[in-house]
Amino acid sequence: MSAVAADAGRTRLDRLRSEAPLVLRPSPRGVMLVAGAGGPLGGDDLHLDVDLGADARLDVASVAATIVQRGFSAPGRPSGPARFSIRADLGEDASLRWEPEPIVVCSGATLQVHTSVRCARGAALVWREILVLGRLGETGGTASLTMVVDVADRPVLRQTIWVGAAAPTGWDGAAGSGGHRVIGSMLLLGAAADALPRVEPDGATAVLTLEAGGLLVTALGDTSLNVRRRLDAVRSLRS
Amino acid sequence: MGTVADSRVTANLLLFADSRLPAGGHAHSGGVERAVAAGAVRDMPTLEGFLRGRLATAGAQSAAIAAYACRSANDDPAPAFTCWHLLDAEVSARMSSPAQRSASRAQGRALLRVLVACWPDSVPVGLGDRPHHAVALGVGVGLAGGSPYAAALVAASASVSSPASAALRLMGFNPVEVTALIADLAEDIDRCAEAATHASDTGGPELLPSPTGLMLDVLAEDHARSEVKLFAS
Repeated sequence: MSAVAADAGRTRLDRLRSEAPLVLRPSPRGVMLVAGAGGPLGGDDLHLDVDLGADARLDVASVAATIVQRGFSAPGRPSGPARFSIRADLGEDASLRWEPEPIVVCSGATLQVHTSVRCARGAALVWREILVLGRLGETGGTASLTMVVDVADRPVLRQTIWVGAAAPTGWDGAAGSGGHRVIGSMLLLGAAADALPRVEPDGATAVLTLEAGGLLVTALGDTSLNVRRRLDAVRSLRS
Repeated sequence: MGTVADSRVTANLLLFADSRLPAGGHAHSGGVERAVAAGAVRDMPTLEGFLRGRLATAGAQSAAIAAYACRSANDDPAPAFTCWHLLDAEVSARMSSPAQRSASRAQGRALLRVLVACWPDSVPVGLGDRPHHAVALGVGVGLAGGSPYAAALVAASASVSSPASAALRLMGFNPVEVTALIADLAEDIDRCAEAATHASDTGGPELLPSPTGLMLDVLAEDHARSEVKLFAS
């Protein structure tokens, strides 16, 4: 998809193309990501490009949680991981809010998400991701989430979170997820991160000031509602 | 994956594996002090879980960075000033926690002092005066004649032995049992160093791996804000 700034501070979507299982729909709230078929399933390889011209503003959300399930290449033969790569390019003073509903990785499924964001000077970004390992009562599958973020060609964030049954031993220990099944992170850049919020330490939330500018908020918990509330609390302190 | 382990170990190299190296390592617990205070590390199984998680994340990352820095230090011609700056920025982008960055730079600075005393003419000026610890470590191992694998091994090993010895002091664990636990992790440490050596053989530092220990970030920040503590991090 791509968006450009139009007259009177408005933004015009000039390209919106997608196909199942991930469909893009324009809405009054911005662009919605809609799971247009079951899945994503193991073996799916999805890619999304988001281009924002200078001064363009775009919100991306979803109507429901994304459920990742194991796929089969043939009866009885599980297929490989579900892959989702997202590339976002923000022009000068552009603003992107990426706040989809949680991603649930069901037992037996493997999800690999690779996100690459390049921002020009002055761009503002809110990028929220919530990962849930398994549906309620399930142990859950395996997920790796990689974030690569540059601002004005300077590295800002390089982070890979690898959790779940097939992750290296210790992933759920006191150095890893700390036994929590819901992992939330929110990256704030530019105008979205211009004051440092005060958050009382609760042993499962970190508000991290990045060396190259920007804030990364990490929240771990046992329900997505609780994690989301803690992530959003940081943002509401700021606006 | 071919083998990268090398048998040539010099006395100089052992300096870097010695906890008595005056580079301030003893002042840091790698998050374990806070984990003990929070009750998350309370016995041998939870300590083992912590160490395994730390090895797979912070350990794997610092091993790859150390191997990369070692390779760069041995490069001919020597890397330009800007190459060290770029590596520094890439390392910082992999350490979201300001408390961890400051612990890394404090130890890097202390280690740099040792390197300058040992190899006064060979330490690259591009490192600045507050390099990240893994970068200084990799350069030091390179100056001592060690390979990128040796640098990765020292970094991976320290990523568990240093918090293990802190836990020993904080919890009064049996030192023999803790040593046996580290011996039990030895194969994983070797594998981690080998994988890190391969991962470090990239075109540029932007391709270095970036495994993250989520609770390590939380622990580091909470520890930095706590008033009563024995270790700096």
